[in-house]
Amino acid sequence: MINFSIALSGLRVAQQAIEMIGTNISNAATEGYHRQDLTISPVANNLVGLVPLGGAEVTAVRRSMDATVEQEMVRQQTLQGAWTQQSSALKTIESILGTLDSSGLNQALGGFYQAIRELAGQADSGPLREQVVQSADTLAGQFRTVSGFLANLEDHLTFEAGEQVRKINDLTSQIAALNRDIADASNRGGSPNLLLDRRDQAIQELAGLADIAVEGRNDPSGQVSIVAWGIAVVTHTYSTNLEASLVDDQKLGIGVEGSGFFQDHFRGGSLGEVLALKNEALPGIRGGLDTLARQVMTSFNQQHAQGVGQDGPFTELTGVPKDDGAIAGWGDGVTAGDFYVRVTDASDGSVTRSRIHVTPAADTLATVAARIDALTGLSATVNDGTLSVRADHGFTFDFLPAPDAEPTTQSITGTARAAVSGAYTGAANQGFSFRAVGGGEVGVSSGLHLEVRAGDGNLVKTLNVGLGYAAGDPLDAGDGLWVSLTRGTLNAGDAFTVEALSNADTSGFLAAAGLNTFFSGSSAMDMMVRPEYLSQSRRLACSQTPGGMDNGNIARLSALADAPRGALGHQTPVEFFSRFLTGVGQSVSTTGAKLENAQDVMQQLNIQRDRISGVDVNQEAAKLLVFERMYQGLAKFLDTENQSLKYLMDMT
Amino acid sequence: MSGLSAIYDITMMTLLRQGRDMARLMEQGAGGLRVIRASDDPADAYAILNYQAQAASLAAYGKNIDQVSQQLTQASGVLQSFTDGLSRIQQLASQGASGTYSQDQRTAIAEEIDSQLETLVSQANGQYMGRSLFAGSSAGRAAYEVDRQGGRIVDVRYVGSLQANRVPIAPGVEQSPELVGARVFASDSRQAPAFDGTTGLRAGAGTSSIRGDAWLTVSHDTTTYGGTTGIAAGAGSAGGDTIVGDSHVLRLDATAHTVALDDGTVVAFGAGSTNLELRNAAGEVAYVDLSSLDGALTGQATVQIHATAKASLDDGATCTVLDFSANQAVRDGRTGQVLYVDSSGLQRIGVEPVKVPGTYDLFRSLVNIRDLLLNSRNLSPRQQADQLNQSLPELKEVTAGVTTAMTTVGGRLQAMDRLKQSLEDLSGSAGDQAAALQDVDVAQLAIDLSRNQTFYQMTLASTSKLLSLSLLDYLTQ
Repeated sequence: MINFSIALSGLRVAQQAIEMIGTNISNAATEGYHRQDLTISPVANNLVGLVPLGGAEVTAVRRSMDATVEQEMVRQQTLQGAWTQQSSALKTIESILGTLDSSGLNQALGGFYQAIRELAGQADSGPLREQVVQSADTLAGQFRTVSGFLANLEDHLTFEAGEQVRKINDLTSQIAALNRDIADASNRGGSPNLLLDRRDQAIQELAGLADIAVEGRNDPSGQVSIVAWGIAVVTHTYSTNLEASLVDDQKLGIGVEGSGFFQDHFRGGSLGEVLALKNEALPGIRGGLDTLARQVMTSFNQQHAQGVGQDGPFTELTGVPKDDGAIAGWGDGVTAGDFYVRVTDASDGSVTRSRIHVTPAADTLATVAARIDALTGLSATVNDGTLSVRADHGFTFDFLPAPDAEPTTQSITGTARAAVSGAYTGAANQGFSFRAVGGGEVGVSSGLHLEVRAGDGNLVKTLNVGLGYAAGDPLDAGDGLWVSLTRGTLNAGDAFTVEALSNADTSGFLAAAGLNTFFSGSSAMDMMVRPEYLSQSRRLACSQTPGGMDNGNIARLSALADAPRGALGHQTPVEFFSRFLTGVGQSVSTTGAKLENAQDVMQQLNIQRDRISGVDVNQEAAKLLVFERMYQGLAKFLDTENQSLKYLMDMT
Repeated sequence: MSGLSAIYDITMMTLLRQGRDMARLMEQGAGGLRVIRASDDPADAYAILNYQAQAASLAAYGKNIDQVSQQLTQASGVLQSFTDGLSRIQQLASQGASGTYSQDQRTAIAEEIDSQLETLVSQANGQYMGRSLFAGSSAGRAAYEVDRQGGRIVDVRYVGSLQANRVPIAPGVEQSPELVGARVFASDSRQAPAFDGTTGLRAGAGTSSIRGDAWLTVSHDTTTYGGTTGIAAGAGSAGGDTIVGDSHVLRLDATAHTVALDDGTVVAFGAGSTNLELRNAAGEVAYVDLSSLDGALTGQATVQIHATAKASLDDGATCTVLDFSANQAVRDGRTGQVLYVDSSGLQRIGVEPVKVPGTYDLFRSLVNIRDLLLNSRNLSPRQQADQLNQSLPELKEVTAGVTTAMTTVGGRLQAMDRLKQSLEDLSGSAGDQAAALQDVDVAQLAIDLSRNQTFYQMTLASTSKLLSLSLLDYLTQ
């Protein structure tokens, strides 16, 4: 009956082969499926003479795969996961920052400075004042919107990290379970190929989420271990869950669940990129945005504080809430310096300018308030951290840099007296000194001159105040300052000084404390136009004279648009934002290119993998024909054998 | 031939990419822009943003130039009206100064000048869009305020600012849209004061600060008599003496009891002559008290007289006793300004017309000319004609000032026209550069779109062909 055995073995092989072809075709579209091929070997059942006779048997079911390609796919999957995550987030950020022509932050910033520039041309124009206020409100709103979106994105990334950790934990659990099933199948002598495919698919998916290393692919048990960022997340049949959490400094960290220890520097895979975005990229972008917002606010406020609106000097000003500790702790960039308060007595029009020195390390809001309070005609209080300055009845105050009508110091032994007028146009604060040369009667004596020296001691001008000078006529002392002398005498060496201010607040205190400031807030998130300006644009401090009708301050405010600032990398605000926006665009472009590259590589690997492991239905159909014919042949063989035996039986 | 998965993967990836490319081309075509987001072309996007910012900045400067130009054009028109008005006033003043007109006719001329003055003050307070043209940086208020008496303007005071706003009209370039009336309608090239009266006063050595025209009133102060003759000033001396200086003498004949002032009429006196009026040949008067004449005196005697004077620039409100020195300051109590006088040659009291060339104020000159025509100081016809004639150069001086201002404004307008053209060129260039970088090349876009469409169709066709070719089809036959 040896011949029946031969046929039977062949039929069994053909049957298995047809089933395997069916399995392959069934999974032709299954992602991650590796084509399976049978290894068929001859079996010698008997020797007829010296000729071995026998059938065939399936000695192995082999997965068609290339380990190198598979490993590279895992690596590329990690990269692709990272770039996909980064590209998606950056594109979202870019879209909220606006296109080049939309009404985004770029347009709002440019529109704000443009409105100021136009107002500088018509400082008394109500509609243009309104336009500045509205464009500032739009700008602040854009900053808040973008910053709020970025904050939401950070929250979303924290949530996303949790979701991805949950997926990782699911996958590692699956892989551990599949390890167990594979080992069981192998131990039972069965083929674990389908399980291996499922596990490989899970590993591939895991690689997209985390930077993993797969160990033990060649282990006889068929079990693998997986390490993610140095953490053994799968060890044969055991898995370790991960956990995502915010650490103390609000950075996002990953650690072993329940360990309480988190690391924020993991990179690779989409989760690694979530960490990178949350811990580095987004804070960087928000930091840039906050820097820009602070610079726009601070520079505007510092200049605005030194002007007056159409109503002129103030009777009352209220600041913004501040810490009650040392000013240095405010973080508003207040430096050691001075600010100047001018108090006008309405009864006689006299103006007294007082200098108040601020030492941020030693001073608090209360100590500065006390100094203001000590000035005649003013009272200053601090309530709930907010500084309020109020003028006594019959007094007004301002922080204008306008020169005092009288020299700062006078050392004149003669009978003439000096007076100052004009508006200082120099770039820096400095004290001009005037000294009489010659001596004699003003407007009468020949050779009576005044030497004018700048703060550095250099001679600026020599003015004739003797014969030829009409007492009381203003003389151009340079940089917008004019001096005049009353009739009388000057002795040689008589002198006086004039403190010329370009900046009436070198400390930055006024802007930080919110006295006569336009914007409130300390970052892009809380940047606002103070409500009093939204309702009364006439309060916009365009002027640098008490009359409130000149454009001195708005002209200086308009110059801010073209002023590079150190904190902005020596760029103007518009330039900074252009670079900021194109920087984000560059990141989007670069990440997009990397992602496309990773996708291309992945596609090539997929093609290569499909060449090796994919199912070609035509190929399987051809094989099917072979095994069908084999089956038919063996059936014929059996029939022949059966017929032969029947003939034999019939003979008996 | 790879498996179905490979074909599927390639097809999906290719279709996805081609679809994305076509969507992008369509977006570019719809908006007409090649660079929409910064990521489309970061380097070009940066350049585009810079060009856009530059164009916007230049556009804002352009608006400022328009604003300043329009305001200056308005001011220029007003100045033109001023020169027309001043031309007419010069004509009227010349007629009034000719001496051929009666006072009534001069009064009629004065009325017309007064009317012109009202018009000019009104024009000097002209506004452009609510902003004063000639008030400097105090553009929100009138440039001039007037004082009136009996409805007539008696003074015109500049109340604007001496500073002008500086409007940015280009990077680093500023221009003033308004003019400072105090500089446009007043001269500032002070010369030595000219005294036109008969008092004998002259300009002192010091530099006077009074401006324009002034009337220096010199009046008698005190009279004292030399020696120990017992002669004293009479009761009427303080208000009635008209002699000043040391050049006068009293010629006394104690024996004949007669007395004469200088070479004047000889008058008899007696013990009761306490306030004897003496008049010299020039008509100058001295009141003397001879009641205490020294009885020991006999015969003829010549008594030296010392008569002091005081001077006032504000019609007696503030007086300065003259000390007969070469340089003495006389202060105007209303303005604080001073006039340095040389009183060493003072001879008589009177009203001294003083003119300070190079310091004239247009409106005060007109007030002065009108008042001269009205003869509000009761000048003699000759004095009136002289003063009017001497006022004509004032008019020329202030007219020249206005003409100069017109020229300056015209120069500014021309410069701004050129600047605006330049800015428009720059702005256009920046806009063109931005558009060149940002705008889509329509022809290229059409080609790209067509090519992508073809590839898309090819992908679909080849995939369809490949997937339709199957051995199974043949097996089933």
